[in-house]
Amino acid sequence: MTILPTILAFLATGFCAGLIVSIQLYPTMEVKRMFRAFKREGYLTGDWKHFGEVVDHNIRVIVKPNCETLYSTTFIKPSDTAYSLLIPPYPEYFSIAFLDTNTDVLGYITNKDILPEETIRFIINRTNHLKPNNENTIIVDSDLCWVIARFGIPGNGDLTSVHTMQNNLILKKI
Amino acid sequence: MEFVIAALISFSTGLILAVKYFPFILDYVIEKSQKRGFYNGPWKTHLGVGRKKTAKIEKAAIARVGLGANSSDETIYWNAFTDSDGNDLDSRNEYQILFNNDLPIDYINKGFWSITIYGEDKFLVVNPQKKYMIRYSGDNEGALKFPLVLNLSRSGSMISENSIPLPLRFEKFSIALRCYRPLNIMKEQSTSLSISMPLIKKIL
Repeated sequence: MTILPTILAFLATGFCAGLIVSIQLYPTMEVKRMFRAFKREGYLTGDWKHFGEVVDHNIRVIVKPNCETLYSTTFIKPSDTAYSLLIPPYPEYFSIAFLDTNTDVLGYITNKDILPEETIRFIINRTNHLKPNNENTIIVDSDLCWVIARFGIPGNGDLTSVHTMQNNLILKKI
Repeated sequence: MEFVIAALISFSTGLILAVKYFPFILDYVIEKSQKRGFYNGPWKTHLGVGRKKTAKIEKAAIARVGLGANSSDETIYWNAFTDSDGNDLDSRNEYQILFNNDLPIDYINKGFWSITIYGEDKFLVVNPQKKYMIRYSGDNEGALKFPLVLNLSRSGSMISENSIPLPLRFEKFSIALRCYRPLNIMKEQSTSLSISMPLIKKIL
């Protein structure tokens, strides 16, 4: 009888400790869960996974999906190597976000950063020391980086230009 | 010795239970804190998405409901769960969203905004037209003029260019207003309060 309150106290302490750990690590666990799912589908780091169709009510993978952009996503490991990313011109809105495992956005490349009719090369690197002169560089200080590209769908709903953009995003290890 | 083992087992059990059921605990916390947060009229947002300084519990909640969301530099996500009178949005009713003026969006750099309806389960609502949202990019060739009225209704007869279907079955729903490439006035909490956001009016 006397031990029961003590056991309950340890149970409660463990529960509180678990909550604290979970609060700290939940975003990282979710990003790593996405990374594992990405790999399970056969993708390697640096491979683009393109979403080619606009979501509808049958899509129940993520809550509150949006219907105004198409996504392309990949994971990279800037701790292993630097990457180059070629971005072709695109006449609509786009943003490419670089997230660390804590879901913090480390940088963006957007349509504001490119020229209307020219493919632009960006260097994605963990530190700034490899930056060549006049090269656009995104510093991604993280072992694992989740890259999420969002492409605005043209007003007429034609996805051809989005698909062309997705297919011409070239990400390579340097 | 038995005491130490019992203590370790109970501590570990508590820890494992907390980690395993944390997502559900988080859902409960998010649900209960729905009325709290940063509001402009019925519209709620969080300007700390994707930022290092955001509190850990808020980061966890954001990862639960919007994993991979853009930071407010790029996109601001407003959500409404009630109308402008503070009553829950319910598909038994019909609503109008009234924009007295446009939103502060960087249209020059291809910014745009969109309104999307989600059912109680947070997914897109079933409708034969597969129309889930309206977007405005500043170059809609005059299709949208301000003041602007968007109609929300279960009735198919109201489906027009400026309308979005509500869930066919009676349920609570929410409205997401996504602002891609907002101007600075929307990014700062202090100035964001002064923006004239659209009203949500129950009409039937």
